[in-house]
Amino acid sequence: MGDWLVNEGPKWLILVLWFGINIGLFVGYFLFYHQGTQFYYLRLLLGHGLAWARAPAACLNFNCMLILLPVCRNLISYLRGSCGCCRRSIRRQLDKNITFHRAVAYMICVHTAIHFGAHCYNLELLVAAQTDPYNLPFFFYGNGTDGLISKLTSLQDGVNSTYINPIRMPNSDAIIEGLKTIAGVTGVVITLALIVMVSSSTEVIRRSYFEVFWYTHHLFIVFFIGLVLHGIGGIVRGQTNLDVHNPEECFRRYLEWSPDDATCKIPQFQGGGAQTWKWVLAPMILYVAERCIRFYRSQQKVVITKVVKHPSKVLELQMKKRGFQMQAGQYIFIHCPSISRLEWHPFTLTSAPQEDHFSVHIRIVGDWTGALSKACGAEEPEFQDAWKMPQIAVDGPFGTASEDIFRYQVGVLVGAGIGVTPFASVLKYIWYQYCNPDITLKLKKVYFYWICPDTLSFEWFADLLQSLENQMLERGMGDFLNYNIYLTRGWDANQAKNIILHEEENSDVITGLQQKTHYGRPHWDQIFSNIAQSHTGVSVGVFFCGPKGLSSTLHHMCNQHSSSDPRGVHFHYNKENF
Amino acid sequence: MGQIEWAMWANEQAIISAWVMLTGGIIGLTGFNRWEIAAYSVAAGIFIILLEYPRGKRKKGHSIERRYQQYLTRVIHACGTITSNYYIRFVLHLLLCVPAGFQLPTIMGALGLFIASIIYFVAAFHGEKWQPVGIDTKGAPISSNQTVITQPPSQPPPRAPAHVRPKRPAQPSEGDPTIL
Repeated sequence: MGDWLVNEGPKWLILVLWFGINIGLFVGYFLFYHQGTQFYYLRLLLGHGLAWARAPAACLNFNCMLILLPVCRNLISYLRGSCGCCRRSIRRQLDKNITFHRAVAYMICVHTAIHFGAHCYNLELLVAAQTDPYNLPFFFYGNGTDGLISKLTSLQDGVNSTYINPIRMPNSDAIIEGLKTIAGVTGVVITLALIVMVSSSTEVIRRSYFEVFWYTHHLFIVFFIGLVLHGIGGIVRGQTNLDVHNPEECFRRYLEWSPDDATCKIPQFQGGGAQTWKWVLAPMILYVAERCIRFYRSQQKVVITKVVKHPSKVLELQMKKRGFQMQAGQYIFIHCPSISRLEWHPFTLTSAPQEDHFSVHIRIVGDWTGALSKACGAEEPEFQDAWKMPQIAVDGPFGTASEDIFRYQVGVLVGAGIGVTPFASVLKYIWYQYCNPDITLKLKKVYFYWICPDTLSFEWFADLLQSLENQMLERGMGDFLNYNIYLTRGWDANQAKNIILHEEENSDVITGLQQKTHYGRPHWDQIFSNIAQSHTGVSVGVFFCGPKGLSSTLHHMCNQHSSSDPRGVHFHYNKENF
Repeated sequence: MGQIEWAMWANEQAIISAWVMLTGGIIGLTGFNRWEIAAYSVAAGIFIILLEYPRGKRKKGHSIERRYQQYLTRVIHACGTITSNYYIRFVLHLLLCVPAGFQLPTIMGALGLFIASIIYFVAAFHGEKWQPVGIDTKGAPISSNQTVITQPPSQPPPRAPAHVRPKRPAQPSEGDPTIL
């Protein structure tokens, strides 16, 4: 239970807080417009529609303020780096930024629907009040009489007089009257922009036709401009002279309103004016700064120092950039203008922070990666000159780092499928730390479990393990790292024959490593109990990267094999979101 | 713009706009003027959702189907050119959106559908067509330059002389003994 709170708690806390603020704003503004005396006459005209339109408007202000923030990834990265005091589990929430962006976007859609729906009724009522006050639509709920409605609507801007009904001319068409107002035009434009942005952001479109998504999503510029201008007409008009005209008493005597009357002077009205800019100005500035930073970073020179072609269509790029600093397990975005001016693709860093370059291993699967491979000359048989390398820009690094492993005496790393990639960086990092004579590590033993259907596309990782193994043997530290590879796809007849023939040999026939490759899935129960027996009385950190199902299995194992005796072995589960 | 298939986006836009139009129509039926337009919007919205629900087959890559779309795929496929030609869809959506523009609650759906019709025009202009997912459309007869195999061969293929034949490890084999 404690682990759940640490791992999942912050996420739910943020969601509950955000949802709670939405509800609070909705209810608060609803009551303000539903009960406020200054809106008494407006409520006469509009009924419930006023509160139902203004409440989501407040929530829209709040959510439109929030929506720009999760996509400022450089700002987020800076926050994560500088908040060293906060718990990692809290900082890790910053990695879920796009998920939050989408949640806020859905909320904006919901509130837009309520806001627009309510204003449909409001507009019809205002137009009907101006055109035919004795024949109002049946959903008219305001409790004024026809005569009062007519009186209110006839109030004009002039000496001692201001109007309340923003519809100034009789017209049977609500649409035309609506489009005569700034709010109407901007409302239609930004709602249409929202619809188009939503339709081009569905998963199918995002994954298959990224440029459509990216270009159309820039309609947010139209959206924000329209949003800021939406309220400047001030058409929601509250009463300003409540001290000399109390609507709750004076509404009955509407025929007697006059500037000379003792208690019921003519009511004066004024619009609230634009409020949205106060909410969205700061995020807009932050976002502009974010784009400037991205542009500046894209101009900084990145040099490709080495291109290595690995089996199964994997390309390794080693690069250098001035001032680049990374931590193990992070990722970067790579941009290649000669291939596509728009696309930035994320790749996990596979080099260790101590190395003099940074590297990524790229699987050639699609258009962009194929073009990158060609541009780097990976298809050519001979060596390429350095000046032929394409221009590259790098943004990042982003993501949580995994330094927590050094808090434990024993570490268990589990990488499943493609989740093994960040462990290349992590393992190298651990190795460099271990070999550093200036540092005494608390970490004494690392168990690494790699689970994959087959080693196809990860031969480079097997090579990395082999080179680490050789280095350890050279230094006589064969015991530090313990590898286990599990090939879950099993073997075919030919492989089986081969394995039987080489059963007696020291190194594994598939990977060449000293430890043997296993077939099938690991028996976690056995593994955990073996580790528990070999390391009594220590705390063991378990780190996992891969699919969810295995994550819960490992979590369960950690809980099961942790001894209840405080002096016994304790397994601490850390779910990494690389 | 890479390998973009505009019809995929037009499809999403049309479905979303149809939902907006449908919801707007329901609101419009609750006492607004011109309730006939609201009723029309509800009907048109439902029609468009059914028409657009089955995603077409992508030219390149894996086509992701919507849940249970296979039943509608058959219906749409059976309508032939009317549903597979995107010029027709462009005109259809253009015409369908016009009446909805005359009532306030349905106007957003109308505008969204208008945009969808434009994107369908672009798709048609690029030669895209709606192909059903999961139904084999290549029932066409074999072209003339393809050989048609009617019976398995009755004679073994002729072999090269022994001294140029590639060496094989000794294996028991049925049929003629190999003279190496």
